[in-house]
Parts: sequence; structure tokens; C-alpha cells
Amino acid sequence: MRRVADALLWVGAVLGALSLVAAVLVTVLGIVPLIFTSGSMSPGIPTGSLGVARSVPAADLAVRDVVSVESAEGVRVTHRIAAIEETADATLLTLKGDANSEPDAEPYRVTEADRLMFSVPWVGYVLSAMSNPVVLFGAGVLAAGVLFAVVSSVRRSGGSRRGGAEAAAGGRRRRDGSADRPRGAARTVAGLLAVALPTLLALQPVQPTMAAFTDLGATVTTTGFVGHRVGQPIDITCSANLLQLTVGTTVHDPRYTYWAQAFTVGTSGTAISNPKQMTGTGTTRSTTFGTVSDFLIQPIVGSNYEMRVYARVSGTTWQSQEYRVQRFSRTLTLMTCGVAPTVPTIDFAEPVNGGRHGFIVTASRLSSVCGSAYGSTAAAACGTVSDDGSIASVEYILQRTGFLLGTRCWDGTAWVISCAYRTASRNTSTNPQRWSVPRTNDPYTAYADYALTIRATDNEGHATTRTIYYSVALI
Amino acid sequence: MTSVHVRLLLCLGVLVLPAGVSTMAYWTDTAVITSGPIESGTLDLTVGTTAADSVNLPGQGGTYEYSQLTIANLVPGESIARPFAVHNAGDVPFSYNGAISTINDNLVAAGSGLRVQIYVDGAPTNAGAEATGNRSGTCTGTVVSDQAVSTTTTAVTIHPTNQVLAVGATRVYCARILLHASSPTTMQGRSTALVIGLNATQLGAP
Repeated sequence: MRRVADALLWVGAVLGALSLVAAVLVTVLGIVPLIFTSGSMSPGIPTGSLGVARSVPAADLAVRDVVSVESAEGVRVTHRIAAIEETADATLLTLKGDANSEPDAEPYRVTEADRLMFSVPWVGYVLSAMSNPVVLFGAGVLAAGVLFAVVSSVRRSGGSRRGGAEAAAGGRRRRDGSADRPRGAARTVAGLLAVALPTLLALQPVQPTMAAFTDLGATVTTTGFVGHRVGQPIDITCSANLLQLTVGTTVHDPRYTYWAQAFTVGTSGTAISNPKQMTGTGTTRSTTFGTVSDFLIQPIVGSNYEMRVYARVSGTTWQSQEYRVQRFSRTLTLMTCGVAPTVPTIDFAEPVNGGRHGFIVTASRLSSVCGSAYGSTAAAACGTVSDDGSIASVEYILQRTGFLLGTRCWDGTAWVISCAYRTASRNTSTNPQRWSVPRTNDPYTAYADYALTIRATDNEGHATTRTIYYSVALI
Repeated sequence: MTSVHVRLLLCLGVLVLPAGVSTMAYWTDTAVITSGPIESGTLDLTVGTTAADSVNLPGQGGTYEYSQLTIANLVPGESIARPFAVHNAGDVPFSYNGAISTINDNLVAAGSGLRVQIYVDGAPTNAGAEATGNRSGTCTGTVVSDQAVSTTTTAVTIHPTNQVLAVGATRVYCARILLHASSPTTMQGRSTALVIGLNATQLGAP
């Protein structure tokens, strides 16, 4: 027992001497001790480690150094440098705990920082315990007792080693009858140290510590929000009644309303009406377009147009991209579902509209322009006619006015009273076909005004008429 | 002075260093300096669809795919309501918030587009049908966020200020996702997905 106490006393003395030396070094060399109260640098530096750091200028710092700095809120943080940014007056450090997924929220503005030299696990727990008021008080009492015992022992013995120790032991514990009082005192002190410290440590209230932990970037994702694509109407119906056109469609989705709109022909056609909602109950919807009220631009006689039917989501602007289409056209008195018939096209070669001719000029121009190509006989006028089908007939009325004999018409041979259509000559082997007004002698022998009407009829019975005016005068 | 006396005095030196160092030492990484035993804590925010299923994403970060939070064939005016929950599975309380964003700007338009409303302590109810284009989700609880969502995350947070969640506590939310009735026709057939980024920071951390 005595040997154990003696050994403990030796160990205590050596540790105490080392502690004193270390305390002096810490003070003199400006070393900064750090106690890690969180595991944000674990596993390298676990909670409860003691770190030893030295203050260095910011210029000496490098990325991956572990530094201890104070945040703007005065909180001391010891984390690893993730990035360094130099500014004019200071250095901005971005720090990140090894155990954290994200760097600290704000960079730290420093001119110098405490760079960690090394760390020792567990020591921080002991140092932490020592700063507890209860432990400090106990340690203080212990220290005071030892000091008192030593001083009074030395004083009482007056140099006698044994007597002094005996008195010291008596002062501490009044262990009378002990033959070896100094050793008894040592034993008591060692025993107190061995029992009191763990007891005090164990008695301390457990407090959760604050740690700069984060759990950032926990993300909830979804599989998607997809907008509806409005479907194409399934059909379009069309009916016409005089100048009214009625379009309809079949309801194929309860979410939709149906709208009709008139366009010029083609995918890039322009709208000639506003969209008009189709109404009705049951499975069909329809609407009617009148000539004036429903068109922005009135359909032209003989031109083709498109009626398109779209679907829309009720109450929104969501309209189907695809539509159903129906061609329509109009004549002077009728709307028609379907394309307008094509009619022949007539062109004049000689004479021309508005021409003013002398006798000789007229005759020579007719023979040079029309020639024999325009008919089997010499021509009084000539031109072309074309159609997408075939031409059934070309007829003419050549009328003369402003002459002494009054209005007369040319019958191919002479000026007569009857002004009915007469058959023109045709050369069907050319494309476009050529026509000519026949003559056996010169019709332009009088100073007069002439009107030439040509009527061409295709094999569908659609006809076109065109009239030109010219005169023969003394030039 | 005997050897015993000297050694006894030297023993007292043991008390010098800890007492000295612990008063000198910086208690690093803490907001409030407290003495006493040190316990390492863990901070873990977990998520899920309901309070009973709120322990997905243990540990740091991670991605949880909420497959039921989806809606197809959206027409303007339709909405969907779904629950989600945030849980503190660590052993320290934390402060958290969430940011809602989308993976693209396909359903973004000024004054319309996709909107998200977040209700706290609410439960969802869904009515209507896709075929009739009148699906409607509603949430009970208190609305804390009601905004259009886009890829810009900073604008839309779940809470105006960070919220504290105690250890073991669960917060249940109801999210109502709505395609605004005035959404333009160009949004037909377009799709996007929501991303709810949740960040937790320990109380008092820098």
C-alpha cells in the first residue's frame, strides 16, 4: 500500500512538473489551445479533442489548413479552409467542417488566424471537466489542504523531516497512531485525487452541446407536372343555305368547347373572321356564318376559303394546335361547301384594250401579230384562252359604234344588225389555245369605236367573258 | 522540506495546466460556450409523405423522389393536393427551411403558370377527374407560402423565416400545386417537376 502511494506520489509529481512547464510554454509562446465541442471535424478530430494552434498571418494560410477563427457573431469556429479569397484589406476564408456536407454559410474576414498544429482526442473532456465550478472548488480545497499541511508540517518539525510529515498528515486527516505520517499524507492525497476527480466528473450535469452540424440539400423531387395537350376535333360538317354557311363537329371530350374560324386557303392563310364558338346540346356543336356580320373580310366571289374547327379547354385560351378544315367558296348569290369552280381565262393579243389605230396600221399589225396561226383565215382580232379543263367554245361579239350606220356587229363577213355571239376560230393544237375573230375582208374600214367581247366556256359549262375597246381614227 | 513535501507540491502542478488551459482555451465550434461534459450530437433531417413515413433521407443530403406528387394532363385551373412531412431524426434540435423550385421554366409565365401553395399542419382533399378537366385539390391548415414557381429557388421558401424542429418532432405539410387558370396556350403538353430543397442547420451555428 505504501509502495503504491509512493509511486502515485512520484507520478503525480512528474505530471505536475510537466504541467507547470507546459503552462509556462503556452503562456510564453502564444499558443492557443482549442477544445472541440462538436464533431463537425470528425472523424479526424472527434468531439472532446484538445487542439493546439498558433496564430499566423493570413498570407501563410493555405487551402486544406485547419484554422480557428471567430465569426462576425463572435462564435469561434475551427474548420478546414475550402477556399481563400484575397481582398484589399483582408482575406476571406471559406471554411467547411470535414463532417459537413456544405461549407459554412458565410466566409470569414481575417487578417490572421489560429492554425491548428495538432490535436489530441479525449483531453478536451478532462479540461472541460476541470473548468466546472464544482471541480474547481474541489481542486481548490484539495490544493489549499495540501499547502496548509506542507507548510505547517515544515514549520512544526523545525527541519525534522519525519515530524513535519507527521504534522502534515495530522493536519489533513488527524490519522493519529500512524507510524509513517508523511507517507500517510501522500496516500491520502493520492486517494483523494483518485476518488474525487472521477466522482466529480460523474456528478456533472449532462448538457447537450451545440455543434455546427448541418444537413443541407435534403431534396424532395417529383415525377412531373405535365400540361394537357388539347386534342384535334374528330370531324367537320358543312352545309350552305343561300349566303349562310353552317359548320358543325362532334363532341369528343367533355373538357372542350369547339370554335370555328374562316381563313384564306393554306396553312399560312390569314383569318377572315373571328373565332366563333359552336353551340348546341348532345353530341354535336355547330355555328352559322352569315355574309356580312361574321366575316372581317368578305369572301370574294369565285375565291376559295377554309373553315377551320378547333377544340379549346373550356374557360381558357388553350386551343388545339391541329384543326379540321373544310373548303368553301361563294358565288354572287350562294355560299358553297367546297371549292369554287374554275373558269376559263381570256387574253387579247391584237387589238389591245384602249388602242387607237389607223386603217393601214391595223391591217398590218393584225397580219403580223395574229397571222395564220390564229385561225384558218385572216383575223379581225386574236388572243388566247386557257382553262384547267378543256375549252368547249369561244364566241365573240365585235361591235362597231359611232359610225353613220349606227351600231352594227361583225358576222365574219360584214357589219350586220344582229349582235349575237358568233363562234370564233380556234387553234386547239397550241397551249394555251389561240382564238381569232374571222374575216373574209377588212372590217376596219370606217373611223369608229369598236367593242370586242369574248366568251369562253369550259367543258363544265363555266364561262368567262371579257370585253376590250379600241378605235380606228385618222392618226 | 522533505521529498514527500516537494512531490506533494509538485502534484498540485497537475491542477495548473488544466485549470489554466481550460480558462485560456477557445471552445471552438460552439455558439454558446458551455462547460461540462461534451456530447457529440447528430443532426438529421428526414422527409416523407406523411408523419408515419417521414424517415426517408437519413444522414446528410440525399434525394427522395415523391412519386405521388405528380399530375398529368393538367388543364388551366386544375390543382392537386398532397401531404409531405419533415422530421428531426437527429438528437439535437435544428432550424430549417425549404426552397421550392422547378427543373425547368416550361410552366412559367408572368401572372400565371404553375403555382405552389404550402399549408402547415394541413391535410389534403382531392376531387374531380382528369376526364372532365376539373381536378381540384384543397388543403386544410395555415397557408405559409403561395407563389409561382420557377427555376429561381431563392424567391420561394416554404416559410418566411426558418423554423425550429425539436428532436423527434415531425412537421406535416400539405402542398397544393395549381396550374393558373390564365396560363397561356403555349403551355400545352409542356412538363416540369418540382424540387423541394430542405436545409437544416443546428441552432446557433454560424
